[in-house]
Amino acid sequence: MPPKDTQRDKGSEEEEVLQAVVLADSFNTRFKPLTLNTPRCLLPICNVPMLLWTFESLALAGVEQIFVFCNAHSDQVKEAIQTSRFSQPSSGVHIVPIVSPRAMSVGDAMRELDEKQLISSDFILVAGDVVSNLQIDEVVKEHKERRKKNKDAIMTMVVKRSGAFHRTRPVGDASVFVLDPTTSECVHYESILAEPAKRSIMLPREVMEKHHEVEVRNDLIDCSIDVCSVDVPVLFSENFDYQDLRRDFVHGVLTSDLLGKSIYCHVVEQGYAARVRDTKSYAAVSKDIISRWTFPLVPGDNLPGGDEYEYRRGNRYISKDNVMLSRTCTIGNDTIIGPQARIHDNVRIENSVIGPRCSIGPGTIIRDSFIWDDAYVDAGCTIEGSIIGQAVHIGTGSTIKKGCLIAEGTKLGPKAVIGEFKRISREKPPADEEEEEGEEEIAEGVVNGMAHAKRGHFSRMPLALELGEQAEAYVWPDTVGADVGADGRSSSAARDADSEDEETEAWGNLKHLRLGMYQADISLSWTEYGFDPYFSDTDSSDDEEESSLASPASGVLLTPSGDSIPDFSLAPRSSANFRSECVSSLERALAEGHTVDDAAIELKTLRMASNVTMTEVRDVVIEFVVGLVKGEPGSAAQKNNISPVVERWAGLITNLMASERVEMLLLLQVRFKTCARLPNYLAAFKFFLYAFYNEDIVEASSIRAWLKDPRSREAMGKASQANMEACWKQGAHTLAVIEADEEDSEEEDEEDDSE
Amino acid sequence: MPADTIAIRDKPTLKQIETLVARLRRRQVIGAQETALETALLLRQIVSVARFNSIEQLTQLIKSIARRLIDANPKEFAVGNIVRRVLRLIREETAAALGPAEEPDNTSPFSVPNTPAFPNPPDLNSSRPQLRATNSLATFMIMGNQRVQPPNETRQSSRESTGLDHHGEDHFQGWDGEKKPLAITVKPLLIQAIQEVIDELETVYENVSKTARDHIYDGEIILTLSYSRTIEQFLKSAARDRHFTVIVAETAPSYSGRQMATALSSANIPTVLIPDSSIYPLMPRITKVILGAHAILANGGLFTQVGCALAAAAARAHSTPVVVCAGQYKLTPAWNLYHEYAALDFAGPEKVISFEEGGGGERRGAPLEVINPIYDYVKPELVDVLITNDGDHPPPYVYRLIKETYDDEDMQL
Repeated sequence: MPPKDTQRDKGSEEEEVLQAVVLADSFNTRFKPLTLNTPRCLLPICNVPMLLWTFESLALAGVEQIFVFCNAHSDQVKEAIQTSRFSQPSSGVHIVPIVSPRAMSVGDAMRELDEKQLISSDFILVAGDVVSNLQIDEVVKEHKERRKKNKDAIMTMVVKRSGAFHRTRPVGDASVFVLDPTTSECVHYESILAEPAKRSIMLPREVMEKHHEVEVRNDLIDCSIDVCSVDVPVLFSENFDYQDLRRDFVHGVLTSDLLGKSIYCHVVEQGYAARVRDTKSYAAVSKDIISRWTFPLVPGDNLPGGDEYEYRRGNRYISKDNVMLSRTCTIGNDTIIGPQARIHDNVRIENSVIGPRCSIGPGTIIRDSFIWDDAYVDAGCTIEGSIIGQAVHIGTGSTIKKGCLIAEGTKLGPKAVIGEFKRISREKPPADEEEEEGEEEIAEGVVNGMAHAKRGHFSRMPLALELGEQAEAYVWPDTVGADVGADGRSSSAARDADSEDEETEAWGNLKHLRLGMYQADISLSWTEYGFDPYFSDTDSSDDEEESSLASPASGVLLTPSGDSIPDFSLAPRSSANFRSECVSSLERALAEGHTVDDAAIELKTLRMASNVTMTEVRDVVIEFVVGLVKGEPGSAAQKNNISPVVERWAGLITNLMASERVEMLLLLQVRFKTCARLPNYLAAFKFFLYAFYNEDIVEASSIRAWLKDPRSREAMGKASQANMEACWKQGAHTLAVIEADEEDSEEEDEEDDSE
Repeated sequence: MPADTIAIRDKPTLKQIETLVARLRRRQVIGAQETALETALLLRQIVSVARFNSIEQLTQLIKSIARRLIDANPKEFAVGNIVRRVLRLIREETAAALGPAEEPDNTSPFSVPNTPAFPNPPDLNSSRPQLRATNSLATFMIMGNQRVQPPNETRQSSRESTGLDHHGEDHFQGWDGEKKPLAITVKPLLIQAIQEVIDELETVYENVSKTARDHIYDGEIILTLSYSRTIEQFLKSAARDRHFTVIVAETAPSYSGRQMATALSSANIPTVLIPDSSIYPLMPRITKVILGAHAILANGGLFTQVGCALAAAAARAHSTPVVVCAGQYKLTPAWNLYHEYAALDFAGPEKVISFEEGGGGERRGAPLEVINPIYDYVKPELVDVLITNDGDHPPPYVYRLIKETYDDEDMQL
């Protein structure tokens, strides 16, 4: 890399070159199919590519050197950088694109950054789709001051106060920050997904020991602007399993005692910063720009793309470059009309963005929509709450309902009727998408022919979908509204797995991120959403590990409900391979008498290598342990065999399960159902449970929580309801026994442990 | 863009231009005085490094850069005004340097008729290219003036035959013969001239407040708004000789009035800070309203900080005199073609309402529209006198001042 040497020289010459790292890739696919041919950071927001907004935000803060990590469509990103005004030598900003095809997550990008040794001092880490007018340099200054006093303050996250229900605050991708109000140190971080709804968070006990006062903030927008010290990429290299910046890195640093690093937050009161995370926040950020929250980064003033706009009353922005507005058209409030757009007679446009060179035919009505460059909308169409991609052609009299994403180059109509939340592209959706969704059919329209979409499809929803006679389009499988439970998507999958993979995004959560999706539609009672930080003063347990447990008796407790549903669907692909490797590894460990710690490390490495979720590892281990128990099912021999086996593997199980005891029990339960062919086998469940209890793998409280968990009684995966029920009853019985034991032993201690 | 790269090879200067363009665009330089000063400094730098063979080239170069600066933030009129000043000075200086022989030639037909209200004709007698066929209001006024028109007409035609370019070339050849490039001879003079503009900008407050004691009497109650260094200086200098009270409106949503109030009270001037809503009911007690200006337009109207239109209208309702203090560099050959309310520029809603409240959740009824204008337009009828560093003038006279200050060909940059 030629720039490398020059940069280092520069770094030594001028000490205070402010550097920034832009992650141009989002490592998720929420914008599909719009991102089929365009990288996400180059999608236009208010007619300017998002990346340019980010550059302008950085330039505003006096950043002199920007490294751009690009992955997908890197050639397009490079070209965009080259043609932008920031690449001019006199612009004062030096932009270095770095192509890293290997990087599949933020973590990979950071490790590559560490390898390349590009960073000489504290730097700003931003996503390539951030819009901000903040003086980030002041945050950097604050960060450096703090670093002087405390070397371990490695990162400052910029967050904006907004209120929990602000439109710009992503509902499905929000975070709770627990801050020390005096130092603004972030002491705990929790990401909040909309589904499964999280009604509580758990705060480690140490937090309360170290800090007199903490603020639990659920009203902050995570701006995705971080001021990082040079240690941050190094930490990513050291912990090669960190993928996501927030969920893995921040969470890891804050929960780890070993690292001893601290992270701070900068709460922004004045100024604007937000990230376009998904189609819904795309709409929100557009709206914020149009209503001038980003001032002076607004059309007509300092639009990063350089186009000139005339600002008219009611937040209407009309380009100064050859716009044709018909005398009879109505331009409503909060609207941008791009350069050379042609708006014909009797068109009504409200609350929308019309891209450059678009043509809107007579009598068309456009509401709450985003029409991108070169789109052609014919006469008499109605478009509501949708994103229409580049050069889309929409025929006469078409109707597009809210939430649709129409990708580049698609042709629809005439008289197309597109229902809500459809995703349509010109190219065929990738095969795996179809496979995953199974039953959903692909509607297909062919040029110059009758739309011979499958009849069944249309007869089922006669009005929902009609592509029109001259359509060139494929409808993508419906993801929104799919039954989440049956689908088996889970939040733990989303949390544990690498975020680059579409399948790992919980569908239930994703639908909150869709354009036009309102809470009311999803019918969640949001009054219940929020936090009731119940801090009890009971000092029941001194065991540190237990304090972070979900047990009603421990100090800071917020019961988890729906926090982590284990993934019971056994992923078909790499998992078979993984399973056999796991089992052989465990067998080796058994044969050669490895310590459980070694076995645990080996499993972890395997997990990394084959990219599966933690849940799956647990499942394999449970299956293995259950399989180890020899003897006729239900016989006394088997019963006697259980406790030595469990004793031998207790360490490994504890290690893998971490704090997710309830989940483990559920797994055990399911495993029993699926393994057991003979009804007698079921009887062994209670012995296992008891053995687990004896080995301190589970506590009485976890068993209690498991029993309460509604999932423990439902049919799951291959396990039938009856079998689950049987197990549950056994569990209840075991618990009664255990409680009886406990009461005996605790009578002397005079401690009441029962709720 | 190519024009500057050809004429300017000095990299730091090119970068300086870009930086100022970017800073203007990002609104990191705001306020008439600051932008004026930055522009003047940049022009001095440009003139000192530029390569040019004729004055025409230099003015073209400056104009092309000026256009970029103006496009970067068209709402800062001072940029264009300073450029116009400098262009005119360049023409004057070169004409003077190129030979005194020309001077008498140009002087007589172009001298502006002395009117009683025009006590001291400024140095219009120096030669300057004049009155091409520009369709400005100023030209129209001159055309309408019978005393000036005939000589002008004849001069114009004779001028066109020779033409400025031709004119300039002649001299260039002349200088060539002496092996002395034009740039080297004229440059020090030009830099000197621009330096004078810079000095004038730096002393503008003192010069505006020279006559302060003539405008404020003992026992007056004066209303002012917003923060303006010109007014602060003006009131402080008046306070040396007079005893008066100042009432400052806090000027929401910028609340710059608070800064003004503290500045005045710390200078021992009795000061009262009031909310903007009290302006009208307090007006009967006020003897004079003193306002600053962002720009003085050709019809005598003003762009001022928001709130001034309210104060001026209230003053008119109570027949209270309105005095405007501003530097001469705010004279702008432009008109307000917009609506009178919130004519020029809008800031974000942040100062008016918090993001939390104003950003809105979803489905919260009708969208809340927040309008936060930065400038007000004050009609010329509402202003009684303009106090500049170039003397005191009534608003209807501004067009004249503009004509005298700038060359007609520079009206449209």
